[in-house]
Amino acid sequence: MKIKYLNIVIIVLSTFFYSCDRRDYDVPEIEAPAYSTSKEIISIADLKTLSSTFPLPFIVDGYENKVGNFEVRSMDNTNKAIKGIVTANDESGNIYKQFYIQDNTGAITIGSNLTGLFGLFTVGQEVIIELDGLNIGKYGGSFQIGGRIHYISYNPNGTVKNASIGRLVPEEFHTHIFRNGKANPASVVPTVLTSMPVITETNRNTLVRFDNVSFVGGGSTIFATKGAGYGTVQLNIGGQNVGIRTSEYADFAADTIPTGTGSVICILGKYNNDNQLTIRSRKDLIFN
Amino acid sequence: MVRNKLLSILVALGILNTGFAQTDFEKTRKDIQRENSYELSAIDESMQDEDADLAGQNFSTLATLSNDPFLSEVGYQLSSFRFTPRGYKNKYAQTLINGIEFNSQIRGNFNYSMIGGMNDATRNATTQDYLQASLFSFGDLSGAQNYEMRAGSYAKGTKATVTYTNRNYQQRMMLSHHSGMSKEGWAFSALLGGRYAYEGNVEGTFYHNLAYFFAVEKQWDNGRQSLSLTTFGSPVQRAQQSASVQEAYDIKKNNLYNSYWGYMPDGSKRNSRVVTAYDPTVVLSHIWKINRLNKLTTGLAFHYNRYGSTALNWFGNAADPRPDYYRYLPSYTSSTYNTLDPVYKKHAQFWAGTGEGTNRGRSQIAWNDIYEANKNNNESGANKSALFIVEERRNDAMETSFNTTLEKKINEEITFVAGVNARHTLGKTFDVVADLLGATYLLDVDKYGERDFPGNLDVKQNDLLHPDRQVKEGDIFGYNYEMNVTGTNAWLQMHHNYEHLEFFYAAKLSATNFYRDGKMKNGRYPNSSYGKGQVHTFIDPAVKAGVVYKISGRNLVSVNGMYKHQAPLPYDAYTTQRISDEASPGLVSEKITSADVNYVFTYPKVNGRVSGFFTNYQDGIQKISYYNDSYRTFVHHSIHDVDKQNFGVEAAFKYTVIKNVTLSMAGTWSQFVYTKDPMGNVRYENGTGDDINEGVAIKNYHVGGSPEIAGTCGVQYFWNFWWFEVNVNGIANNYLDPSYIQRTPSVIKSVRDAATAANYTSAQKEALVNQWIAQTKLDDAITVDFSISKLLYLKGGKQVNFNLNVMNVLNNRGVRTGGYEQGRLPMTNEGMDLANLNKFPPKFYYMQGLNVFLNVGYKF
Repeated sequence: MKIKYLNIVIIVLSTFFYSCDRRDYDVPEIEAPAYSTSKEIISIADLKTLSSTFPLPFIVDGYENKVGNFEVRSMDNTNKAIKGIVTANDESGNIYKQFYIQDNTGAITIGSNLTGLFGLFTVGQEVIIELDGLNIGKYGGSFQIGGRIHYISYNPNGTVKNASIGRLVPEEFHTHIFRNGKANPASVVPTVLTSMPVITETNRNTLVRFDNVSFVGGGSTIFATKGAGYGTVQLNIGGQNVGIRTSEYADFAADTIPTGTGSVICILGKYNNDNQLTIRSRKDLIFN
Repeated sequence: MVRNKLLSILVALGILNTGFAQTDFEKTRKDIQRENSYELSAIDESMQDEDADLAGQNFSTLATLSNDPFLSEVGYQLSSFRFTPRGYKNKYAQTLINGIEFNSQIRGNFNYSMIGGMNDATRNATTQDYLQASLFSFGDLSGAQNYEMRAGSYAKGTKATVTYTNRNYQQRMMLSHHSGMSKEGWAFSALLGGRYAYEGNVEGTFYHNLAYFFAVEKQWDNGRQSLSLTTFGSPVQRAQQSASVQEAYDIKKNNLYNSYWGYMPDGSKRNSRVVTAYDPTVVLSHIWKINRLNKLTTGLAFHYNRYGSTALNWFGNAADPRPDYYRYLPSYTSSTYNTLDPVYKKHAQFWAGTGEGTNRGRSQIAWNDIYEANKNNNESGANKSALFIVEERRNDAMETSFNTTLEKKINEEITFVAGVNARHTLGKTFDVVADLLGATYLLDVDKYGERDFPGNLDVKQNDLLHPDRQVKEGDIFGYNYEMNVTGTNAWLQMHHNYEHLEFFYAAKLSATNFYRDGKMKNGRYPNSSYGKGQVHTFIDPAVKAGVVYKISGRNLVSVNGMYKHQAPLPYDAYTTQRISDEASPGLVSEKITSADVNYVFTYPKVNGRVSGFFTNYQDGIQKISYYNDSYRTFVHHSIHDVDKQNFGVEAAFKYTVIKNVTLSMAGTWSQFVYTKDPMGNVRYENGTGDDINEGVAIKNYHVGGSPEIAGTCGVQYFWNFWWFEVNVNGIANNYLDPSYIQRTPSVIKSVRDAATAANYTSAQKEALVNQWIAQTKLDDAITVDFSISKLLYLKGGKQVNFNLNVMNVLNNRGVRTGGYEQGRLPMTNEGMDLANLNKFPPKFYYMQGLNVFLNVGYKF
């Protein structure tokens, strides 16, 4: 009978043990990311200036050394890094697979093949980008940091016609782009403007706020129609109309554009020769 | 045969003690095999992939409970290959407890986990194989099994069992006590058991289970009447393993790679897929032996099934958190699936990590990132609704069953059995916020509704009666409906047993009705989602008959046949039952015809059975549901007018080579095929795609789920209460069920069109199309099992048994046991993506390598 009692004890103990090992999870403390780089940190403006001195990239499928129209340069062996604050991301779906960083000297776009970047690359997040192994190039005349893999088009004779900047794939992204510190949204203060400035490398893709502006056709049209890809609406800035370009996938695409006079926060952009503004989310429209 | 069966049942019940140690031993061995096979079925449980919503486990313990030489051998030995005798799905096997049916009225299957961890209480079972006659139910294609769980049916004694295994759990303990029937007519039984693994064999899984069983029986009127109450439950919390694409297994160099778990910030492993199930059951039964010739068995059962399965869900523009999502795998990120390519290699290394410590690259869930994203969004997001949550998909059911069976011996030769059954199930299916992962609420709207239906504020609502509701942990969201199912049937059977001839005939009439009752008014289906839906009613006849000709005392030949109509299951009957009452097209009863011919022989040195069988299914309905990540929705593809055939031969022999050495062989050759092209309907749950009504060209494709060729060969040696056994098991012709979408004419045409556009020659085009439509066949496989057992009789009738099973001794880790073809198509804006036709390859499950089951039992 002794064994019987022993068994009962074992069973009761193990019952206790089983019930103790519950897998309920409290919200854990999340430590702010911290990263310090051993690379030399240069300004965004310096990077843009230096980029023309960088070599042409190695092209993965063996078309290196072919002559072509390369708007892309390799940052291999530069041993440099840049540091900036995230000003815009893909939260609303208007910007897709990209985010923008800015320092005191200018702004640049980071192109990736990842979605949902806004979860961690939230506005106000300081980001360090180690440049070795990445490429820099222009898309529509705007500087962009991208990956090694390029979209290549070929001439009929097999030579490279065009190699444009590629998107960072997960491996490239996560091994070169690091977050430092807790995001501080308050650190992102748009430059206040009341008229459309001339776009230069200094203000291109920076975050600005236009005050005392009104939409052309406010109250009667929407930002973008489903199926159209993009929609463009005109913003009257001190008498000058500037296009606001919005993706049909933006969560505010179907919103009616506001009436009256108000403020608009946006990315000050240019696509080739055309000025182009990009709204990050509904919250960027400050109208009564 | 019935008489033989009864005898063997009595032996199995321990009522007749034959006194032969070998028989005792055989019994113990069988018991252990059964235990072991339950546990194999538990492994199967962990493989149910909710994304693909596979119709549930295919495992049947019926086979292992049987005394048939074929079923008992293959049922046990081949269970790890997911072999099911004759290819019959679990829903075609009736499972009863104390005479009351317990198959789910919604999904058709019997849920083995409801009796998990209480093996010492589920040992006594009566089985009826295939199409034979039975004394307790009409049966089905696979037959029927009735667990005898009345207190008085257990032999008096106390038993403790301790088990170690290295499968999905590691330790098991069971303590049972049975009082036996007292002089006053009382019997009590109790069992307490538990199974546990902090981490199972598959990384990131765990297993917590407690099982209890209590039964009391009172007999009176000189044992002529008995009333018994049995209650049991087996609450379990267990983590699941994923099916993955071969690329992921290859990179991880681990065929048991599990993408469902990840490290929490504190370094502990957390699994996103946790099943929490609890099935409290009460069975009240009454037996009245009216006189020597008449017996009336009546039962009433209540069974509540709480079943919940968690999963990560994500909203808005948040990134897909599943680590093996195809866009994160190197074949996608490096634009090549050339594993020798340096970029591919680099990406593969990055994805898999070093494997040292907690370094798993990106191949496990990044819980820290998920929490951080929710936190950031909460602090500064435009919309503070959770980006990520863990949801629990609930499928609860409350079942009430009543049945009564009269067994009447008309004379020595003729037995009449008749029964009436009535059952009702109230199913509740809904989604619950299980963990907000640090967010403060979740907005209950369709996650892509805003993108897909811009400007329409209603359409994205999951519940128009409570628009823009902010749900918290514990709240129901997404979908919520009840399923009411009522089934009644009456059956009767006449059994004649003469010296050389035995025959029976039986008939059954069933009435089934069910309706959906929506609890939310869905914005995509405002007119069909809310309230009581259409009532679907089916009246189904069934007939069955068999004849046994006893050539001599040693040889007999039998022929059995059945024709039945079977009502569609509520689970298959709707295009998208979570949010709409719309019925699947072609909702009619399935017609099943089945027959078999058997030759059974029994000689002193050799006995066995050889059979041929044929089963034809007509007008069936089947459904595949899967997650389409480009539409971010569940896609339901139902096919109707499904005709199938299962046919083949099976044979088993047992040969006593010399004294104490037995050779046993059992094997089958069969085919399970679709015999025509059914019609199909594709439905996107969030309405982002239009319904597609189109046939599916799967004629002559194999029905997946079980190998068609399977066999086992074993040698047993018995000496002085030691038992040694080695088995070699093999399977061949094992297919995955074809994905329907891939075989629709329009999709095949788009492959052909893409090939034409790419200037393929007609020979190249045909080769491409053939490659596209080819069915996935799993490799043939062989495994070896070994077991050693010892039975020890101690003083005072005490007994110790020891058993070690080593399965897959050769440690073959390359055996695919199942999986599914992904329903997604490699489409680009221009049409079919010819360069990446294999972009969505099948997902597989693998068999575990060498594994052990060590069991020690002590009876006192």
